[in-house]
Amino acid sequence: MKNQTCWITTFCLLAPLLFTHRAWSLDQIIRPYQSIRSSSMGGVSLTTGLYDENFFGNPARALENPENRFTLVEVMAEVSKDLINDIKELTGDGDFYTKMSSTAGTNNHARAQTSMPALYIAPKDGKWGFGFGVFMSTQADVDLRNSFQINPTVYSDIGPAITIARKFLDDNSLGLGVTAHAAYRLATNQSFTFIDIIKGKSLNASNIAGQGSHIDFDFGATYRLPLELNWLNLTAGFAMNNIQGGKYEGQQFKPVKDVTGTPPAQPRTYGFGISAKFGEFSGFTDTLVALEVRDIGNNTNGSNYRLLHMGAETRFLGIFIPRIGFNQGYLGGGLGIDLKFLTLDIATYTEEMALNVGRLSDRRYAAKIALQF
Amino acid sequence: MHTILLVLLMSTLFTGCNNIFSSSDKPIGNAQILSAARAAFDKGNYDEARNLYQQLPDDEGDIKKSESAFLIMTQQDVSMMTLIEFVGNKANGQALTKLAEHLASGAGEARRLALYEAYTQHKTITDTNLKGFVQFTTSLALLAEVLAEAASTDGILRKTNLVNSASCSIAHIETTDCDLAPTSRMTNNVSYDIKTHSPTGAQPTVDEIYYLLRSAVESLALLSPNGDFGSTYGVFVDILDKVGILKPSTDPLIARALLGQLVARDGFDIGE
Repeated sequence: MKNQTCWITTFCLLAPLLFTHRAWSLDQIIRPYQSIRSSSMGGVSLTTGLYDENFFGNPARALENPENRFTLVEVMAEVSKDLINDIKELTGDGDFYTKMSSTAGTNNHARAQTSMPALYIAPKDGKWGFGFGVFMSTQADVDLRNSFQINPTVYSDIGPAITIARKFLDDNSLGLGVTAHAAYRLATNQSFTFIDIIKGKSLNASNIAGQGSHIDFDFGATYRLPLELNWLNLTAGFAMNNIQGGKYEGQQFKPVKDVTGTPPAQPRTYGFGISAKFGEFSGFTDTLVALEVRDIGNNTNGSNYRLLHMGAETRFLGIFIPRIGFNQGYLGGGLGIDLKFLTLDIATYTEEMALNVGRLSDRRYAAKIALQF
Repeated sequence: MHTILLVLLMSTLFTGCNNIFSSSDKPIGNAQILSAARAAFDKGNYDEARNLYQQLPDDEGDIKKSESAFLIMTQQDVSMMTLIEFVGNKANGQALTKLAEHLASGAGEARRLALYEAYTQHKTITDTNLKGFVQFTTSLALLAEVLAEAASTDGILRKTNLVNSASCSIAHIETTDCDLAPTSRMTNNVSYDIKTHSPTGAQPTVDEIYYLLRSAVESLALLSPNGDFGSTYGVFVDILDKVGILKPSTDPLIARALLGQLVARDGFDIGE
């Protein structure tokens, strides 16, 4: 036993030194909020977003909310395919170290998200749109990489947001909107080793996390292109998010005692795109197709293909909403069931974890339930 | 036709394995090449990973060499996870023995030379901590491989695979019990410094063990001049102190001293 302790001690002391050499991380794009509708439509939202999507997408889209709404409950959960497999592995028979080593090279991702309560006032025939909501999103990724890195990233964001949008021009074709976020973030801000995990070391938040809060703003615009077609509307959109740089500084709200570091920033991003909305045909309504470029500014060293999003949605029999899309080139899809007061959504999509698409995919599954009036 | 398309679409949708842009999105620049190399490594595409690591320029030399070493080790079934697994749990006091037995299947000159290539990567790494870490882990892996070659055909590394008698102990360390066993697959007929000579040959040598132990001591000293690495450092140094500084040598008494320490000493206790 003394022998074993001796070897373990050596490894435990050696391994952390490796990680001081360079800060490593998975290369996925971190987003503070991920709507399930957008996920199943290939990540588009700047020209398609409705209700909660617009608080972190394009504020001008608040003008497209079809009805007033009060959301009492809205809960979304998301896990990666690898996490499902690894949980089976980790809870199976065998010793802990063997089971843990068998998960190497896979990303264990999970996200829990709420957007409630929330109130939306649709413009209908007026010029103003409005939204207010309280959001919480926590996402975690843990990946024991074969190249001997560990990537534990945990982001937890919470706070209210308020959106105001207005129509302009004689034909109301131009929409402008702004969102103000008051957000608190608690997140990991440094790496630690899997040796720490093996040892069962308490990963005290004060050692590995930072916290901070800020008030930041989004700006967005939409413009309905002047087409003389009654079966097709083309809308271009643009948004700038986290105008102040998303640094989580400037506010003194730091509720977790002993956590003194600052969390990673959520950088200012730009995005634009175009969507086509079709008139009713063969029983299908609310049919949308969109192409967007998003996350410009939040893609350090990544290829431009990671910014590309394409998606489509339609409504069938009034309550079924099938969706499909390409997120960064990966096919995804989902289904929504709209029962007026109760909506259910499921989605699957793939996120790129490397700097070029097609290199390291992370397949994810998500589900949401919402109760609204 | 529609059925085929639907099946293809659904399989792509649920497996997420295809990307419509992947053929045109090639890594450009160091960050993307490194990211792609690590992705290939994670997916088990070792040849692709190796090619990508080799594309990295010299100013990424430390990462290129260290991760290339880890890649070779993984290809030879000594991944870092394997090391942790055996060191962390399976050892039950015999970490090196168990690691050697893990490598018994497939042990031989080809694997020895492959791991030697991993071992040599540390020589030109400039970052002190990274250099020490790579040197320590590759020395350990190569040491386990050398011992694996001496194991019985059933994959068990017995004390008698190395020394004359299972009675070799601290009390008998000066006796013929601890001489190199005539039936051992190891040899003491040749002697060279593994730091400068590739360990070629059908049989592993006792000297290789000596120099790998010395390399491990060097790496630990590099990482911790004050001896912060606990008793492992002390055990390595003690053994080498007792063997002396007479190497390289084909003297059977030197082999006896070294093997006796390895087999009998608490802290190594090599062989079942």
